[in-house]
Amino acid sequence: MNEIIIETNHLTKVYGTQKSVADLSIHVRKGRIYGLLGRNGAGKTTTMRMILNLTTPTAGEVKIFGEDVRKNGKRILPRIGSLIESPGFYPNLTGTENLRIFARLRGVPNRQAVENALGVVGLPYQDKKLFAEYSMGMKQRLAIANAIMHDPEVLILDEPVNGLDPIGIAEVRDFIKRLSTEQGKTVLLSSHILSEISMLADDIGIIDQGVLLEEESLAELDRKNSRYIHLAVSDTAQTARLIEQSLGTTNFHIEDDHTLRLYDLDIATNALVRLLVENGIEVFEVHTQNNTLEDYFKRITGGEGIA
Amino acid sequence: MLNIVKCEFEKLKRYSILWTGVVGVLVSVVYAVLQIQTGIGKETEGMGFEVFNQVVIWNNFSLVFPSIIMLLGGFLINREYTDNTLKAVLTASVSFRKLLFSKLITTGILTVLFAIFSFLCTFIAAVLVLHFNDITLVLIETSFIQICGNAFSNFLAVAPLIAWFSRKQNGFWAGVGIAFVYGICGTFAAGRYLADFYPITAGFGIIGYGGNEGAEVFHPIIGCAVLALMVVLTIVIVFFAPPYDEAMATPSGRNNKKGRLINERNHH
Ligand SMILES: Nc1ncnc2c1ncn2[C@@H]1O[C@H](COP(=O)(O)OP(=O)(O)OP(=O)(O)O)[C@@H](O)[C@H]1O
Ligand SMILES: [Mg+2]
Repeated sequence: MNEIIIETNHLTKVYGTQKSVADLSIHVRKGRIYGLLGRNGAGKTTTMRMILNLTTPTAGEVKIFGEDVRKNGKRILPRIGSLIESPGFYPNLTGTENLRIFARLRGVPNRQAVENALGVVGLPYQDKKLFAEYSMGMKQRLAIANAIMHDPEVLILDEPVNGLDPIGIAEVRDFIKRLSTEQGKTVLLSSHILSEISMLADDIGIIDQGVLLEEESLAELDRKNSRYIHLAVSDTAQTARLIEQSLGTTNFHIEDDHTLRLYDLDIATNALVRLLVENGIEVFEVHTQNNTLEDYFKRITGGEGIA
Repeated sequence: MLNIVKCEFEKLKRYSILWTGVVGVLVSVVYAVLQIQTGIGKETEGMGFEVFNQVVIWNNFSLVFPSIIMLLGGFLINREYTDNTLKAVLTASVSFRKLLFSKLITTGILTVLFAIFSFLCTFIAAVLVLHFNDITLVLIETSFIQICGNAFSNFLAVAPLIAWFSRKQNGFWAGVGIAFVYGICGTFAAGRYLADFYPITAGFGIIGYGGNEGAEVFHPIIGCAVLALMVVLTIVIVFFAPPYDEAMATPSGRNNKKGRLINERNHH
């Protein structure tokens, strides 16, 4: 149903002996926000560089709008806005002068584009301050302005809120959300902060040591990771019926013949077990799963937490 | 391409590297004034604007222009690496090749501008300091054409070096040293009837350097061919420019580490 805008097929990048990105296949769908989540050094930036044709893949391919980036970069790149790693601009020029240069390079016809983009990120237009004198957050804002200035269909943002203060983070988050919901832009963003991704993304790709561990919609991940009562019983079909009739809830999911997840946590466990046993169902296991997405992320990256 | 060159000039705003060019030009002229005043060994009388002009050109090609052109061109390209702007330029759909060509064209234009400045300094020094009274309109015109022509042929001679040393970040510093020696060696080439073949001095025949007094006869055809070869060489080098990540290779590791430290500091 959803058209795929960015697609990588078995993308691999080897630096020396190290596989920075290994056999990575991700799929970014039209109008959605895709969050690439991974710890430091996971390969997020390297992936985005390959998507933007800044780095030659060792193997695999990148398709954007269904076309190979390596062959049709000239046609594809103008439709993309990007921000990769630390913002790079000319230190001897002001923010406005910097954006004017990139507007000219891109052939942006709209004379207002620079002013508008600066307005969106909250930087003053035609300010005297040179880029060299900018604070980290201002630099980041300028980079975001540069990414959106030409009104691209696709945004590729590497750690977009890096260096911003909490208010700035909220602003940029809202702004990215609005680009997606109001203007239907497709966004690929990366972060090593789980909460950031879970607040923004519709789809999530978890990457660790260059390998894509999981690619799913946030809703699906949430389902996997919300709190629930895990039940192992002799007969799930009958259990389901009982829960529905006696406890009045359908908020559960049958995993297989013998396990069932009950998401309604208001139900008292002891009452539940009594009900089942009284109706001749054997109960092998009952426990409450308290997984949060964060635990899941830690577990899946085999890690000691989020860097 | 014109667009990119325009951008190059916008990027030069408040850029102090241009002053090295100004200083270089002044040094060359001041040195020439001193040489004239101390009589360069030979008879002092009879030395007029024409000779002064030739001394300036000699100083320009042997001491100043090759290294300054290399420095300017090198800096222009290198800053895209060091300011970390190359990725933004490339993702704005400007290819590395196109960027390099534009940088070279910009360097060429700057060279001519410095040459015009050199001519103005020469003229002013001739009038105000050396008080020559043999300055005619024809000589002024010749001086202008020769100083600019010499500088531009110096640029063509150095262009392959600029292209070559732009392949690696900070590589151009080595190029500046080489360009300086390259310029100095022009004085030997010119003294051994090799001027036509030596790229730095290959323009002599074309600009008519040496005037009547020149012991050597230069061949503009050979000079043209040598300079054309330089242009071809430059185009070939630019054409085979390495991809972005290779060009960035050495420093990018360092930058990454720095970026990572900043990241970590922010999120702990
Ligand atoms: N130019 C390079 N040369 C050698 N190794 C590199 C290069 N660029 C990246 N790497 C390595 O590739 C791996 C992935 O790096 P990458 O920058 O893609 O990680 P990341 O997920 O963006 O991390 P971070 O969250 O710190 O930004 C790292 O181990 C890094 O050292
Ligand atoms: Mg990164």
